[in-house]
Amino acid sequence: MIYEVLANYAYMFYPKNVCPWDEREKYLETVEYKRLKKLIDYFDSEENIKIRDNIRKEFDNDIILKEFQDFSILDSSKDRCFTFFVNVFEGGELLSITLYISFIIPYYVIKKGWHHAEPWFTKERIKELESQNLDNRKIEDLILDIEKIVEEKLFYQKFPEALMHTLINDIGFQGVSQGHFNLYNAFFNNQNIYENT
Amino acid sequence: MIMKRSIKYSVCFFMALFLLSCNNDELDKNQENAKVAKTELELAKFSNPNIANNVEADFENVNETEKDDFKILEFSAKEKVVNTFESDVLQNQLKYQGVTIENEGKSKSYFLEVYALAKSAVYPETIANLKDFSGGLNVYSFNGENLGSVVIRNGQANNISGREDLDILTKAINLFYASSNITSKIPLCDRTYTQTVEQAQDIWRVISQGPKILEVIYVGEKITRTTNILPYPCDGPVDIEVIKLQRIAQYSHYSENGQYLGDSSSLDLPPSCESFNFTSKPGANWQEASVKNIYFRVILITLPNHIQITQVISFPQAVSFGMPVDYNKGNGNVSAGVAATVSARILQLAMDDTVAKFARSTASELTVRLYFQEKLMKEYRDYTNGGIVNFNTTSSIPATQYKTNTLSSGNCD
Repeated sequence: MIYEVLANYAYMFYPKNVCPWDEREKYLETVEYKRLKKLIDYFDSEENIKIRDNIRKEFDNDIILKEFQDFSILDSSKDRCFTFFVNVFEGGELLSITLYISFIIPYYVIKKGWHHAEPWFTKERIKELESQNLDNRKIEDLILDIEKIVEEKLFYQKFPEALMHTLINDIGFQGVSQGHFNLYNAFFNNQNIYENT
Repeated sequence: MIMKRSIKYSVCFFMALFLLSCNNDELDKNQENAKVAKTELELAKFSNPNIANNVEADFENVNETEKDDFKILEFSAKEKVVNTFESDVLQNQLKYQGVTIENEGKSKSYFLEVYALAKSAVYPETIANLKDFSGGLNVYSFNGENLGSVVIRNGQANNISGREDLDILTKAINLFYASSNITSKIPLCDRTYTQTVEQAQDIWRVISQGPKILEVIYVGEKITRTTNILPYPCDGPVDIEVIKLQRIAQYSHYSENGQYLGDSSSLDLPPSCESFNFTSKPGANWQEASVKNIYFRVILITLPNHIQITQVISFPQAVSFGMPVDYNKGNGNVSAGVAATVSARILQLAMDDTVAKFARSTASELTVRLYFQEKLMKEYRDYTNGGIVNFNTTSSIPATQYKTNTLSSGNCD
């Protein structure tokens, strides 16, 4: 039943069977897209920047998570969520944790990532940062701590992993074609959420 | 200012190899070693087409190890498009490495193609720590001569080809071998077997007039077989396998009046960093560029008649590329030029990978297009530490025209 609830909610913001590539002009004129754009613009407005600043501040007391950076791209990518990104240095590798908080539904998603270090960080710099870090939490511990803060202070719930890749076949949006658009895309952003590395 | 210089320095290396090392005191010595290796190694001369066309060496990180009278200089190398293969006996990827060994006033250089047994530890990219490794080294000189094979069993090297040229390498590996009576991962067994590797290469002749391709002529297929001697996996399957590496394409470019322009692994000229005009977003740690008319070509085969067509995969609409401006704790701010240089390189990587995967296949245009989109988005995220690509953006940033370069993606820093 939750699929039907979420999919029907998604149809309020995304038009059915309008191709975002070939029927771009038509798409941008649909009532659903205008509704979505209005919502995104609301959360992207100058006066509401404080909303995401306040989310970020919830992590200020944590020595690692206070480094969360706001990577939300609401204008060009029309993200449907706030995106907070932090690098973690573990085992000589450049890793990351990204927290996605939807502003359409009260759900969040956390993903960890692996990145090529160079040229942004040298191998020596990663080792140095790792050795300077006296906090013995591993990336999985950090994720648990983020979940605790998001759930206890922001009252959000984790988006069910099993539903993330479930397709809504008659919707497409921006670079995501019909047949590839899933529930994660509906409520978060256009990215393809890969398996955790 | 120092930060700015640091990032410029980093990108200079990134341009070459995507790899970097900058470490104060050791740098001069490392650079000297790198210079020697760089001038001596001639990958293009190798008869093995995978090494000649698909392997690049990282001369910037030369590791030096000394033990007894041996001085060992090592640098890593990797496949640009990573070959994976299926095997009951071997791990599914080859590894490459360069080694120069100095002993008793003599210096010998080797380029190694490494096959690891499935039950072995992954090759540690150094010959000085092979205690958990079992597999075979297919050994070449720096100018591509195949010198034979060295077999490794739990760190112990054996010059199975009996070639004198390989003695110094075998001795150097065995310097670090300590026999152990604890249970080893690979049972001791002194037999070897021969492995055949087949590589198919499609040769094309491309005739262009400026940026316009006039004709693409299929010259023919070249199959190269190499044999390697490997340690027999005593508890493994007996049958000898033939490994097939992925097809690679070689395009020889000519102008309309017959002037030879050079070879490439892509039908198209590489994307230019001048395609990207990154603009920082006020008040945000983010910069974005928007590029229209991105395209590349791939030769596909249409069924049922097996007709070859040159398929243009094009993106006339603006594609946006976004990445952070400041990597907190990293090498400092990322200038628009650095962002452009890196973006062009990643775009080229995704195009090359897509062409390598689908050239002369019966895949549909849509399959190729979707694979390329996914690949670019993933590589961009991984290489730019969180950056994103949007193929159908509503960005208000004016889109710039996609441009190509003659030889490489260039340096816009």
